[in-house]
Amino acid sequence: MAVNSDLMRGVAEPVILKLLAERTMYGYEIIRLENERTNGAFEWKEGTLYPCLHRLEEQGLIESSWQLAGAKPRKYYSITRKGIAAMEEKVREAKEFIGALHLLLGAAN
Amino acid sequence: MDDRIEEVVKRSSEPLKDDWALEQEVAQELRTHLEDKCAELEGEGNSPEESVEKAIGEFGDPDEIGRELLGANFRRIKLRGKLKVVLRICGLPLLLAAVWAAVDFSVLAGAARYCSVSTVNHEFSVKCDWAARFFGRFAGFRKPAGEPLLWNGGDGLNARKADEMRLELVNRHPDDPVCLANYVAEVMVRDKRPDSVKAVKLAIGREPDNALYHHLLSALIIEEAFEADRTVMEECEIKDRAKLDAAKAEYLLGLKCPYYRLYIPERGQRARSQYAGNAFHARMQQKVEALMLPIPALPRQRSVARAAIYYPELLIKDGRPEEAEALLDQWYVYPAQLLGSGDLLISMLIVDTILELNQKKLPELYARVGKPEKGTRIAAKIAEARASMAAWKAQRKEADDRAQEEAERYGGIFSFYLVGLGISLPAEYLRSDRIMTYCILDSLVLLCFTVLVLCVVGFQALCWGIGRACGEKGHFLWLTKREYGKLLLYGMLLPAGLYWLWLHADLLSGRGVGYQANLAMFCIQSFVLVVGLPVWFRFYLGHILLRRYRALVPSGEGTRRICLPFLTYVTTAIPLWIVFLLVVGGVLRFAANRELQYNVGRDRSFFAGLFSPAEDHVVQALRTDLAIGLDKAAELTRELK
Repeated sequence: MAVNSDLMRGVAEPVILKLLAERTMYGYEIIRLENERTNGAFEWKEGTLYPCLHRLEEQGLIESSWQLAGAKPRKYYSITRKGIAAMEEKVREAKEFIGALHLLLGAAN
Repeated sequence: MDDRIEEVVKRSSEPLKDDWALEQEVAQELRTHLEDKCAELEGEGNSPEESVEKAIGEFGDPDEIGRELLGANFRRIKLRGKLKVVLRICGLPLLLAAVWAAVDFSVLAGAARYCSVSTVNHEFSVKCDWAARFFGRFAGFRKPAGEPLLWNGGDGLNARKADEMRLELVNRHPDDPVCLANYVAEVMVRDKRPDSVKAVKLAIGREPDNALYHHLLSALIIEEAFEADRTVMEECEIKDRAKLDAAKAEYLLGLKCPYYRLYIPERGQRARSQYAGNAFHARMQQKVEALMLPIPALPRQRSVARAAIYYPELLIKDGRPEEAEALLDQWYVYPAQLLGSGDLLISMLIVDTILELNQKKLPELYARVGKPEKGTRIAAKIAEARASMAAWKAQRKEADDRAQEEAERYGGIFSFYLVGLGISLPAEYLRSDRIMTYCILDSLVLLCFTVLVLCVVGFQALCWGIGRACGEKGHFLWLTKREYGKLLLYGMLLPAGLYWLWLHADLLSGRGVGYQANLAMFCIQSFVLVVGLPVWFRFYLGHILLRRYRALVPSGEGTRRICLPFLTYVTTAIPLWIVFLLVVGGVLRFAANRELQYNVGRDRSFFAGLFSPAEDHVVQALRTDLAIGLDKAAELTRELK
């Protein structure tokens, strides 16, 4: 199963917040973890993750810091307290949406 | 590092290039991501080549990512970077506006004319001055040299300040009688008593031999001596007899003065120098000064003339007939003084009025002092002296009637005022701003047009700037020669030509009436010009572009509705708009110039008729006739005495 990247766009924020709530991660790590957990079901364009991350950072829901991993500098993101509160709200919204969608499309079947 | 990865990183981070540090930070993040991805793909057994291809493929469209990154990071961009972004967005609109202003500054020239003239006429409004100086450089106008403040009447709003400045000039040039006369006349125009008395007293102190100032002071005191209505003093109650006596004393002082001077020709001459190099305005200005300036003194001269008759009457009532007769015997001195004051029509008219008054009143007054025959004979002589005026007056009346008709027919934009108010010559309409009003009206239309078109072009340029800043690339759509030709013909020339025809066919009302009387028409025309033409061009251009697009895309696409990419439309339209601006703006300017010349030409002939050179000769002849007649009457008076 592969999910269109346009569909992914709408739920990217709760997904990112949810993953970051577990631990501090850098961008690629987020993608990888998400792929692992969904078996690569979300076929989103990886580059679009970064505008999303930067937007969340701008909103103060996550924060970033540069760290050296070996010789490579990486930008790590971690969720803020405000981000945790927002995550719960966004996850709830996403679940409601998915539930509604399921009802709608399930009924159609 | 693979060049392809670096290319993707560069394209993605390029929109942030105005903040170098931010761009580098974002680039590094993306670069690390892509390198990680490549390493992982290689670990899965892909070749390096395949890994890069795959990583880039899964990364997404770098241009789109770049736009989103700009949006997400805009608030983080440093102020300098933000300014750069804004400048990049607004750069083209600003450039277009600057080019437009530099290439085609006729509107500015109109503004400069207006400012120059405003500065001359409203000489104390400093705020206009900078604009006049700035735009004047482009337009080649310059302010009058010397001290023009002296020779203008102010704008009526800041009269007191104008008076103060004129007084300052009087103090700066204590030996200049023309300066002094100008100050007094301008103060008298405003008819503010304390100021007038102060000014006249100052003038008497400076120039005690000039009868004018004594008579003006006498008139001012007379006005205080009577109740309210000063124009018909014979019917007025005397409020203050002492003041009336003081006025009489001042009048007699004036009669003993060796000369009576208003300095009108000198003032006119100096005013004329203000318009050096412009023969028409200079001539008009001289006429205006000559005809209009003494008029403020006219009610005073009438007051003095009436009082001169009234004093003997009072003396008779007081039972002092000898004194009354002595005063009556001096009746001719005042008109003689006026007659000697200059070769001006207005002087002749005042003298004639005074003679008429004497002709009526002298027989009665001489009869009351017991010399009826003396009065009758003098009145007869006065009637002879006035005979030369009668024929001329008839001629003048006829000319006036004709002038009114001509004003209606050819008076241009001011005929409404000239005819409507029954005023033949308001001075301010003869000054150069009269002509400038045409410029202002024309400039106004052009300005509206320019602003509107610039808005359209500016808006599109702004869209173009935003698109470019976000990494969009618009495509310039070349049209075929035939399409360019059609665009020029139907989009520009045809509507402009129709507009021109409509203007000149003049279906709804007469042009001769002028803009003021025809404001609705003027508004409609302006609206069509500033809205109709650009909107039509915009519509037609859109139509042509769509057709071109249909011709370019595969035939199967033609069945569905085509929506042009906005930036492509904008990129194609902007150069055409610029051409449109220059071509139509140029045509309009040419048309406006023609219109201006046409109206000015009509006005010139109209005003030339009103101030015929023949009038100058008439004045000379009249003055001689009047002087001879008055001398004879005075001689008779002296003999009879």
